[in-house]
Amino acid sequence: MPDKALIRTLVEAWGPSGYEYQVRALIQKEVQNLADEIRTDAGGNLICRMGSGGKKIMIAAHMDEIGFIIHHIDPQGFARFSMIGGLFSSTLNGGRVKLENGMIGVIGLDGEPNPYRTGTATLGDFFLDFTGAGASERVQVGDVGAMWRSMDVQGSRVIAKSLDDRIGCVVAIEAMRRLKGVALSNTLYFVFTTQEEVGIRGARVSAFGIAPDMAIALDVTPTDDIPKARNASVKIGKGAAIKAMDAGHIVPPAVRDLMIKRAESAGIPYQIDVMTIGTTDAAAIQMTGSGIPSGAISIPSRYVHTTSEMVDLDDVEACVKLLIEVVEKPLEAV
Amino acid sequence: MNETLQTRLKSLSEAVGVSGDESEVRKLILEQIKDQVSSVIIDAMGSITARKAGTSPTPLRLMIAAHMDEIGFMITGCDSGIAQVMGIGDHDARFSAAKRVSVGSGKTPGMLLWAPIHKSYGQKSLPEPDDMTIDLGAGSAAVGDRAAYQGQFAVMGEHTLRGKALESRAPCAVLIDLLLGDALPVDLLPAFTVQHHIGARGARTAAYRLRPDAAIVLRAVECNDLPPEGDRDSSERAARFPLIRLGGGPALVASEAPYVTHRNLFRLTRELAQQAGIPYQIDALNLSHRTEGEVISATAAGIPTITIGIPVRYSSSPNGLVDVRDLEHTAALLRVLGARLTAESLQE
Repeated sequence: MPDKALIRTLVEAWGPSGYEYQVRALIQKEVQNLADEIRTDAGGNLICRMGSGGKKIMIAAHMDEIGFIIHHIDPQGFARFSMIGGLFSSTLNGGRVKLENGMIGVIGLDGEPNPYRTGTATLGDFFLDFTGAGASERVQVGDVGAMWRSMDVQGSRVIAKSLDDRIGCVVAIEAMRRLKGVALSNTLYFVFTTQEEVGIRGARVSAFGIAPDMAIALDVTPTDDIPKARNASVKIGKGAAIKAMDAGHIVPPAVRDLMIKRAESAGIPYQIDVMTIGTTDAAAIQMTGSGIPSGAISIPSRYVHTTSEMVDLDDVEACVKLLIEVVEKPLEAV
Repeated sequence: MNETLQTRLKSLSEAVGVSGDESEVRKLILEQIKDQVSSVIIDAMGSITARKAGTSPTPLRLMIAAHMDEIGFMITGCDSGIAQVMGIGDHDARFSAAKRVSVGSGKTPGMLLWAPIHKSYGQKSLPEPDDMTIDLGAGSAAVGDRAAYQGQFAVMGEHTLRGKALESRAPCAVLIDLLLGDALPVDLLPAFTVQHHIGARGARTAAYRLRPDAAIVLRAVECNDLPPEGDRDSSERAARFPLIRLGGGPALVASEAPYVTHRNLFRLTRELAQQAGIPYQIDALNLSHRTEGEVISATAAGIPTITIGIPVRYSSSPNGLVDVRDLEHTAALLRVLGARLTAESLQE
């Protein structure tokens, strides 16, 4: 089963888009003895090669999380912010934001208490409260913050911030652990990417540098199994989700079918993922160079982009197994 | 007032270069820099790239980009002196009504048609750029001609300059200034780019050609130092956006959503400004359009990139305002950066 301690280490780490270095250091420590070669490219992506020969397969999971950038702070210590990636106003009020130096800011809303405002509030109506904490010395304009909350485990469910997409990183690391010492048919590039949340930017440049024959993104996908849910195709606890399409990416049928075939022959529970909002690193990789066949294995997740994202450990395990099934054996033509 | 910068900015501002036909601006720039640089290339898009060799034995290659183009219109039809247009770039219709334009290579004078209030028959809303009309009097225009705003360059007081297209030409003027100065340790790779206003298109090919070790994008940032936004801490509207003041120094752009500037290069620039006593401001922008910083940073296998903004009031209007000291301070900051940039600061 997936390593819960590793999940906690990564989800509780700090790393908004463009500022992934703390997460990268943690991952580098985990994979140091697993990869044959490790480097960090100009885009900040951590690129880990395993094996040689066969086809070059890139496996991408992004290290960054959504965040905040402070653009004004008043003398009392109330700061205003712009967003890094998709912050939604309905998820903010009362949350906590951690800065790079560890300072905690509470997210407040202009004019509270007023129970009716949250629904109509826009980002500009929120502030971060650093009052009483020496804000004038310790917070400055341009500082970057991330949501903060610790992880909980309940049964087979993990509830935490930043499972998008540290859980993808965990799937990759777990696969690397199990592939260590295995005779590989392909050259595997496990890439821990940057700046996914602000436009799938790290994946694009790392794919250019690697020029793989095929790529697989590991990322979360929302589920349709909560009350009155719409616009999603997968359910939590029902297995690895093989992407067919999302808002930025149509998976080539050959790639999708290869994954289905491998899942079926290995008896791995799977479901088909059609995501109507958002996309993954695979969308950028697909259009790199003269085109790279790209697919994605999605981890079903509820409450994405909140501090309480939820995944099921059985799904995570299925994703690890499916990834290994797809990459360790020779590829049929894709 | 810095006469050299003033004269240079006047000629650049008065030149016409609507996205897709920047040739007049390009010619002016080439004349000024040709003796200072080698490897001058005008690429297939029309951008200029060149090299001013560094003094270091192993110089880092630093790209500095400034776009040449301005917003304008394209003529889509013309009948009896009245021309239909489509907008090129993002227009603020509130600036456009009843403004002077020049059309085509002959610079035919025209006016953006706007019925006066007593003849508008109840029409109160401003037209979209694509629904605007140019009144050419008895003149004519050909389909495909471009139209640009006409400005009137002026010196206002001790430090302020007024003109059209300053949001592109002020960065160009600073970059020219840098190239005319002494060589720096780094290889300076200027890129005067095309088609910024229609999707940062020139920056993409220029960055791909240069593949520098690092890049700096020079752009304009809009000031918001006028009332009521200027009255920050007491105002209800406090701090919805970072406060950018005319004359407050170059704006170091921390993020230009969706692009986040390179962390270490941003910090180095801020430190160097502090050490050198150069005034600076910090900006964080939420933009819906594609920027040169975003495009360059994600070129090829990735390029460490930061954006430095020159404060402009009323940018993309026929009457932008810049403070000449902001241009001088931006040039000074670039010189310090060119002298102190290290490979270490470009690491992640």
